[in-house]
Amino acid sequence: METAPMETEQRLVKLSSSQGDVFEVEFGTACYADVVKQMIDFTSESSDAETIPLNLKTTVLEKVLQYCDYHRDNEPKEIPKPLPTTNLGEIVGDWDAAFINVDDENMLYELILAANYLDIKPLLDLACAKAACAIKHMTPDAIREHFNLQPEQMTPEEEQEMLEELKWCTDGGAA
Amino acid sequence: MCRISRLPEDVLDLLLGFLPIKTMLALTCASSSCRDALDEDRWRRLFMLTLPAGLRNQMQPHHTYKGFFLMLAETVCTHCHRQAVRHFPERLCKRHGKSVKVILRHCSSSMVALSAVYREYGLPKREVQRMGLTALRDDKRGGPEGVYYRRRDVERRIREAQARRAAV
Repeated sequence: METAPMETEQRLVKLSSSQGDVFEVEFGTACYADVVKQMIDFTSESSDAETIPLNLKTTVLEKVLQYCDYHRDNEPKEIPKPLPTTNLGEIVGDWDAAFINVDDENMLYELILAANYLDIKPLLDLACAKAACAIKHMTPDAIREHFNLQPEQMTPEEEQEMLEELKWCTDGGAA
Repeated sequence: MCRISRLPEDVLDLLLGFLPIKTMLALTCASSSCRDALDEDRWRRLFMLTLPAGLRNQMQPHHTYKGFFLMLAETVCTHCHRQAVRHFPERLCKRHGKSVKVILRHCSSSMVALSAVYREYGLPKREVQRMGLTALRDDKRGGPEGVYYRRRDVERRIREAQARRAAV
């Protein structure tokens, strides 16, 4: 028997994190993620009350659901490429800028992977744009420091080749 | 290993699309893992994903994709014709906020920088000055630091100078 649209909208869906925490969210919020929608379609055929397991940490899933819940009724803005400014608030609006302004960069990269896994294109764009903002205009040394990378052992020829390539963007032209 | 280079292929393409070429190049210098990730195949994909068709058509058979991106370094403002930004594709003139025209370096285009005339045509500076390029002031596209001339005008001047020399 087919479910009526109103009934579907009010329906709650259970999603569990890889750590076993279960989130009960509205159907519309859960279906913002294409992958979850497909899983719901699949599990609906077998059982109504089944919990959908997702391979995401609790903190990441919670954050993703926060995004889905907000944007199911608010169309996200498109992000231009390349970024015209590192002030994301000017591009995506205050809510998205505050949402993606996470303290821990590991969380940002986990959000990127989560958005990719759940096929949430606007969240993937937002998180990638945030990651790009963090390194935009950085020099190689600053990038090494940012990602905590060890300086490389290069032959003089390799180093010379690299310096030649980098010359045009460091020789005092307008940034 | 850099967190960026551990991202899946298509996600990395997406992230790199948000960056100016300058930062992508800085990434390749920063770590070998990024350098491996930013291989010629990825530059090819970025070429297809990020550049407009009009610009892609300017690629010549002898160019590598990475090399082509590196040549997109010089741009001039279509409004004031001054050199505006040096990292394509942020194609806005700092002064006028208008779109800029892309000039490929070391590559045939309709415009040529005065400094490139010496190198590209293998002429000594004094000889170029004798040709009266400064008389082309009306055609100049830029200030004293970055003057661009129409290539056909430069070549006409060179031909005229050669003809005069032959006549003597």
